[in-house]
Parts: sequence; structure tokens; C-alpha cells
Amino acid sequence: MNWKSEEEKLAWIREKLYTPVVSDTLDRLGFRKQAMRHDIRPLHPDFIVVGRARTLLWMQTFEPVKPNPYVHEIRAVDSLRPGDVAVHSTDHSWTVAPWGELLSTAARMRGSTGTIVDAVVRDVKRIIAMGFPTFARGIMPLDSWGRGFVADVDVAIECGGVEVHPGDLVFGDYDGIVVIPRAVEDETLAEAFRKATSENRTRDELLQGRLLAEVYEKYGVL
Amino acid sequence: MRYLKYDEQLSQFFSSVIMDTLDSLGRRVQCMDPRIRPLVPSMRAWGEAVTIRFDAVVEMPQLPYGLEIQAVDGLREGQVLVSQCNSPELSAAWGGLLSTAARARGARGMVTDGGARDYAEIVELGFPTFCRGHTPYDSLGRMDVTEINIAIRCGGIDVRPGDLIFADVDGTVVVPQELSDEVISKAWEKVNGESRVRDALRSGAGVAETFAKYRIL
Repeated sequence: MNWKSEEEKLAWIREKLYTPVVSDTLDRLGFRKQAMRHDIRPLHPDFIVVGRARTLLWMQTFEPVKPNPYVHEIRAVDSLRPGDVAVHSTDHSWTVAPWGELLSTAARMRGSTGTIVDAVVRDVKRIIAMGFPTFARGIMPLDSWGRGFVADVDVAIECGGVEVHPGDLVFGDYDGIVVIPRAVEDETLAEAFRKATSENRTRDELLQGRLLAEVYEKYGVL
Repeated sequence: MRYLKYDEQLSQFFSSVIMDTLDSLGRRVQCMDPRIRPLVPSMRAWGEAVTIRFDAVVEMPQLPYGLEIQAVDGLREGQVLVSQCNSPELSAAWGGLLSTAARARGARGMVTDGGARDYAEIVELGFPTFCRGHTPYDSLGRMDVTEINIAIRCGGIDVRPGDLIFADVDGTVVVPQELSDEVISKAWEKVNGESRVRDALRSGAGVAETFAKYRIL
């Protein structure tokens, strides 16, 4: 695969691949736990996110951290670059809503392509209306003010049961979210494309009425 | 397929009216766990249950997808595949290519207490799929079909091969085979009655007088 730029690579993934075929390829390469928990869902079925993970590590708080509880959160969002995806790891307290419509707007203006949150989000109808691909475990109206604090950014985190490192490729659609480690990124993408091609041939032959056993024998994909 | 002769009636049913009928026969727990949902609200499926059971595995099976392929290739017109997944972790018991294969055999739908993937492909194909969650994970090396055409428990309800399955956005109801003729006939009476009630309410009749007259709500 020859992509002329990072932008072209991300667009190619969005156009040619889907999360199951990437997950299968990671399986074959021995990375069998790269899909996030199934309860992290897109706010809309059409949302697809592809990009580089920028990580935010949250902690639960019980009053606003002085002097500015938003300090690292704002810094992180303002530092997003085109193709970046903010990935949030909270402590599963269900009281932190790290993301809403204003942050979506700010992130989009920086060229960010979506966000993934292992907790709750808010302003959901507005986020859907603006079409900013947001994946979360739930919805609550709570502000993070006095409840959560970004303790660090651009560090290794765990989100949805998967370890995420800054710069990892993250890919989410309605089937779920996969994290592609840097070390096997290009290999995974090339192999996933080959498998998608085999799946297309399998589908064509199934539609011609051939039995699954016969077609599976021929292409070896399902 | 044993229910094809009832296709016209079944096409006018809802899971709720079938459940009401089962209630009236004293079978009050015949609807699967409400976490089993259609991929899109408009999906509906009914037909004869074909059952398979997945069990958790930790390594690749000798024959990948062996019994699963056998079950799908064996599907016939009007059947619904129902799968029990004995696996603590969610992986896909169903996907786009399997939907394509099942559709080609004339199957009407798929119900699983496990996961499904290839959402966009299945929705475009319009193959009624009911599952407990979405996941990109393949079943390969995570769970494997160990038995087909056996009694299973899916979504908390016992399902035997040949039972009648009726699934829509309100839920997935299992009608034991031996009750199916009676349930279909009683549900048909109720559906016709409900149409009369709807007509009465639309023409302005009060709920109390309408219920007193038809005893249906």
C-alpha cells in the first residue's frame, strides 16, 4: 500500500475497510484483544471515526481542582491536530462527562475526526446534528466541573479494556472500535484489504447461490 | 418448513399479540431477554427454529466454522436460525457473509444471545438479525458451534428445533411447537378483534365502552 500522505491513508481506511475485517487481521497477527468493550457505542449509526489517538487520562474529583479544573482538558483539545482522535480514560465513576458539544466544535476546528469516551457524554442531539463522530458508554447531562479532572495527556491509557498509546490508529464504526498498534499498523491495513477483497468475492459467489461450505473452502474467509 | 402455510397470518402478527396469546394459555415466560434487539427497529422475522449452540474456546478449532457452515448451508425456506452463545465475552455469532448465505437458502432471520457484526452490510441486505450487542470480534478462536439441532436456551428461553419464533422490535417470542397451531389461530382472532377496536376508537368511541364491547385492549 502506498499512501502519499497521512490524510490519504486515513481516507483510504474509511473508504475501503470496516472494523470486523481489521479485527480479524489483528486476530491473525496474534493481537486478539484490540476491540473496545461493546458498550462503547457511536451516538449515531452512521458515525465512523478514523485517526490517531490523543489520550486523556481522567481522575474523579469531589470539588473543582484549583486554580483551573479545565486546565489540561483545554490544553489537550487546543493541541489536537488534523486526524487526531481524543480518547478518554476515566475511572468508570459514571459521574464524569468528559465531552460535549462545545468541545466537539473546538476539536473539529482543529481538524480532529472524532472522540472516544469510556464514560458518559452530553449535548448529544447537537453533536449528532453537527456530525462529529462521538463514541461513548452512556449519556448524562453532568458537567465535569468539580467531578473530573484531566490528570495527564498523551500518556498510555486503558479505554474500553484496550491499552491505547498516543499515536495508535483508532478505527470505530457501528460494529465497534479497534485499536491498531503502531508496530503492526501497515501490515494490518494491507492484510485487512486483502481479506476484504476475499470477502467481496465470497459474497458474490454466495449471491450466485453457491453453498457456504464450497465458497469457504475456496476463499477461507467468513 | 412447517409454518409456511401460516405465512399470510404470521405476516400480520406482532410479538405482543403472540405473547398475549401465550399468556392466555398460561405460558407467561416465552419472550427472550429484552437486551436481544433487532439491528434496526423495522426488522421482523418469523419461522421454524433451527438451533445451534456455541461454546467458548481458547484456541482455533480444527475445522474453522465447521458445524456453523453446516447449519447455515442446511437452512431451508422459512426457517429462523437461533443461537445460544455460552461465552462470557461477546464475539460475533453472526455477520454479513453468513446473512448473505442464509438469505440465499430462504432463511427468514437470525436470533442470538451473542453478538453480530457487519451492521451496515446486514442492514443493506435487509436480513432480519436480532442480537445482544455489536462487536467487530470474529467468533473464530473465541467460541465455536459444538452442536446443532438440539434444545437450547437463548435469551433465557428454551428453544427446540421446530418451535415457532416470532421476533420484532418489541421482543423475540418462542412458541413451543405443540402449541403453535392453537396460538396462531387464537392470535389471528385477536388481531382481527384489534382491528375492530382500532376502527371503533378512530371513529370516536371511548375506551371504556370499546373495552366493554370487545374485551380487547
